Amino acid sequence: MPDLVTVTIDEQKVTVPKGSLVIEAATQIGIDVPRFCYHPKLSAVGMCRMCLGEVGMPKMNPDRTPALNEDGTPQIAMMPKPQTLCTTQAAEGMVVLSETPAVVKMRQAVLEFLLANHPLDCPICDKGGECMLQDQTMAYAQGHSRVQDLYHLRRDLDKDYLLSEFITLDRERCIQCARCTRFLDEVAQDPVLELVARGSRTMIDTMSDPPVDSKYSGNTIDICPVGALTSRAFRFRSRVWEVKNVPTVSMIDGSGTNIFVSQRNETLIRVIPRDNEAINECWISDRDRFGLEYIDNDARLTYPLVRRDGKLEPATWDEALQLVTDKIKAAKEQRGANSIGAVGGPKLTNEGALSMARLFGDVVGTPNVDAGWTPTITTPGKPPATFYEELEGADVILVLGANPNEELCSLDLRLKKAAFQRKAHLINCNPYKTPLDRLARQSLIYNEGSEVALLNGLAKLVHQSWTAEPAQTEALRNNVEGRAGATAWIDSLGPYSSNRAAELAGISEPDLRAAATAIAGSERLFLLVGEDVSPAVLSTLQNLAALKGRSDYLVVLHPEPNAVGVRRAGLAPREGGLDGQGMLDATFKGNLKVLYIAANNPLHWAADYDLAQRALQTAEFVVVQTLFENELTEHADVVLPAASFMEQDGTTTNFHGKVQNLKQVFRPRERRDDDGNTLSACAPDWIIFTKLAQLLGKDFGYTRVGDWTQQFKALPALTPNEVRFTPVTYEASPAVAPEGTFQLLTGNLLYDGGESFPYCDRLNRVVPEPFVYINRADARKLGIENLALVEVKSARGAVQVRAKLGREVKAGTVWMPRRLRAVQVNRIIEVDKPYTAVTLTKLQDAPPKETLPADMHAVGVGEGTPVDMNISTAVVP
Amino acid sequence: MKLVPAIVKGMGRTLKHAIGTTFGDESITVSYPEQEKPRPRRFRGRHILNRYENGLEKCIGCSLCAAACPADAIWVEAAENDPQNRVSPGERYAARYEINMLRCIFCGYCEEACPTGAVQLGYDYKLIDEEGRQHNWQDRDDFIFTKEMMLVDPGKGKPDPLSEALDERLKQNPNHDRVW
Repeated sequence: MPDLVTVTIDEQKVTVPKGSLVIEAATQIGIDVPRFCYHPKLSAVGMCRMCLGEVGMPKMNPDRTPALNEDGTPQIAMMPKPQTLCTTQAAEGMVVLSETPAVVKMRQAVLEFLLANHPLDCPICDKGGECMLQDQTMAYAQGHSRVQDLYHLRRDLDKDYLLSEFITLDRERCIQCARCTRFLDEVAQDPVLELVARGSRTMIDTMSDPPVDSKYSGNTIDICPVGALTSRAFRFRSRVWEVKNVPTVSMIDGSGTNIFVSQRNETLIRVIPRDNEAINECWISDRDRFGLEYIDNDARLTYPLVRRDGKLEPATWDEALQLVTDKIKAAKEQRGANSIGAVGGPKLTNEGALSMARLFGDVVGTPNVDAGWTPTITTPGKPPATFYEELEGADVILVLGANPNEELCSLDLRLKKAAFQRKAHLINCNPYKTPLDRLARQSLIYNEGSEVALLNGLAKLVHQSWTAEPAQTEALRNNVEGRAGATAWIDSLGPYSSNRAAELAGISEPDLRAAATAIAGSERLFLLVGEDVSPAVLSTLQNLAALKGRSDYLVVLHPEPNAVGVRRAGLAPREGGLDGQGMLDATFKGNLKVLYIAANNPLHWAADYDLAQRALQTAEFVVVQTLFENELTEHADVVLPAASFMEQDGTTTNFHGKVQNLKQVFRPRERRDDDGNTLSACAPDWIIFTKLAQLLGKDFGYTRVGDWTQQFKALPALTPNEVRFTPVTYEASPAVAPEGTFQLLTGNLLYDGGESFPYCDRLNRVVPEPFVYINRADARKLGIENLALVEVKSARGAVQVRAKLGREVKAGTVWMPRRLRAVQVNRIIEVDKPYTAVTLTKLQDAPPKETLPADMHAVGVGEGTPVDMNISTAVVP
Repeated sequence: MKLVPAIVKGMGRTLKHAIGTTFGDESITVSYPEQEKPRPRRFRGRHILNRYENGLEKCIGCSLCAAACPADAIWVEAAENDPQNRVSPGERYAARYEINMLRCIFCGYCEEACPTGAVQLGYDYKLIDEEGRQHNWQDRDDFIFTKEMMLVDPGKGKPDPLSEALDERLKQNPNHDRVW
């Protein structure tokens, strides 16, 4: 229980934890203290002086007893000068006056000074209508200015200083509250904006290259109290009061970020965050903010396509669905239900996935149902309902094989908060360096494939700490003794001495020991693991979690939006059925005749590109349910236009199992004739599947999406993890890379130029050119300089990419994003081998910087006039 | 008996005006449409959109008229100015500016809200175009007046101190990159 203190604010008493700020205490009892620079999620700096108030403390007698008035009330000594309430900590007996005539006068003066240098161009300002300066001027200013024509140091500064592809800065409007710089320093941990120059010439600017290179930069637009930082995508699109803000959930990544979609006249105007302390606080990533434009794009499919004489031609819904029904019926009669396969995708809503699973599992009766093309692990237990709250309270967090910065943005911010603000001991284990390493107390860069050895070594050390730390012995013993498989497991740990484990994993032994000590001494351990690790690694982690009694705190990080929900809905192989990979194999071999693909693309996501392509070519009948015509629809016999998540109601599940409501923002996209009559429209997935079931002779009787939601909610709930131990032994991969070759590592990239990127104008411009990370020492040996064009060649194929040198990867390994623009690693990866060995050949020297495409160097920076750093030249007419 | 002089006095006034309107220039009835009565200076007729003296539009697409409109008759869509090819001074201009004359109640709130004196309620009450032609009403859509239909030549607007002050301000800003 924290110490509590009672303060009196404007004659109201309020009790708050010791260390709280007065402004927080005032907010708690409904007193609105005006502020610009204070933000509850950022550190307090007291820069704007708007929250000034009079503060007094109880007077003390020389003998340290409180001095009392004649009527017995404590005497209060007011401080001689006003205090900023956003930096004053509440203390016992403190008296705060926030509305005295002196305070009112001071506020008026502060506003007068702020407005002296602020242009009154509210009518053309995108912030107008939601601007703190506007609101507080209306509420607190005196209505006229005495200094208006004396100081105009900022007049004639840049109105449109481009900070990045997403943000523009109006230098006249900035009031130097430093909210943006504090956000990027503290929350995003990407210090790319800085206050430059001094005095009244102070200005924000970026020195980073590419400029404002943060995945969360868009949040600075929201927290800017004036219209200094504005969105280039939203620029002049609409006034803020003209739009309708519809609350929904972003299905861009697995975080389940809460957003408002601003809609005007059925067009998407902008996306802004919706506060949810349990998910994303008040932040969203730039991918959410600028990456949802694809939904409002004219390239969207609005009518079904049917292949006639080798060409896809527009058809009516009835025609297309009847054709699909006939083909499914025919295949079932001739070759049995096993000749039909269905693969959904994580972009389906819970309802879409459930209706798909019921259609193919129950109505068609095929066991071949899956939600993806590669086997994926899932969270074994039931993650805590208050996931992020517990994560922030964790003392040790182990992240393995995941890069939240590129995969799960809201988790990334929480991990940064846990590590930076809450001082959690973050152990980041990855085969290559990730941005989280900067904040991690320990980063263990292990050899790819040696996770089991590393974790077994850790578990052994933790287990050994029984004797070392008597206090923990009791707890650990309780966790292990009598549990299923415990003895066998402890025996199996025998060979993993710290020396051997460290050697196998390629890390230093003291590091391993330090990590083990942290885990052994932790009380609130969290284990987060990427979805690409093997099931064996998951078992090892389960053992470690069970040893610490934290089985339910082992969570798999799925970067895809509804990965948990679609699997829970039943998009997984039934008894004897094939998984996605197996279906591609079977299709290629001719055993699978009908392939139904919804919200997925094997060409992008299958492990082997060639197999996927050959399978699609050999398949007798391919149905694709999608938003856009793409590479995949070229192989399709029927293309059904699906509605996006913004065009339907429903629910979605995020990576830690939280089910949230989606709300329809737009009508399903339509095609209209010249008179505005609707000709055809796309349809939500659940409607398509329910109709197909009807045509196949089974009427679910569900006419509303709510019926499916009810069905989804009636599914068996996730059960807490069963505590048991499974011995897992490490088997070293047969051979080290042959001389002259490098081990190819892959991972996800947030801006990968994937399916939706071509339809997001602004976001597409920050997608980097395809690149490969090469260790600096390796590159020197091969004579490859930074940004040179190299060929990465495996036994299967080759791709041409730019070399990026650094220490991101260990010597002997190279890292490539799984998919970046047209370069896909699944074209060169060798699926049947434990890892892919590649050779590097330099093709071209690094081009001069100015000839590089825009994403490789700074865009926009320097287009405005530079800030005058010399204060003596400040204009005072 | 006091009534007699009062009646005579009253009838005298009547007779005076009767003669004045019949033979003199006291006429009240005008023979519309050949003749029209002059409108008062603050008459609120069909809207016009003003221009600066150099031809730039005064409207900056701020939508404040639409916000003030009690009948929800105005639709504005703004866009960003190209400095090489300006439509209006400053960064923003109205790419689309439409008023639905069936909805408009001619209250003049839009004129009051306009920060640049761009939109004014003019003297035209017959909804004719600038050449004096009667607007061709076919269906409801024809009552939506577009920006082009409402724009008038520089100096043709109603006299207005704000509008004139902005004319002066623009002369001091040769780049036209600021409005105020």
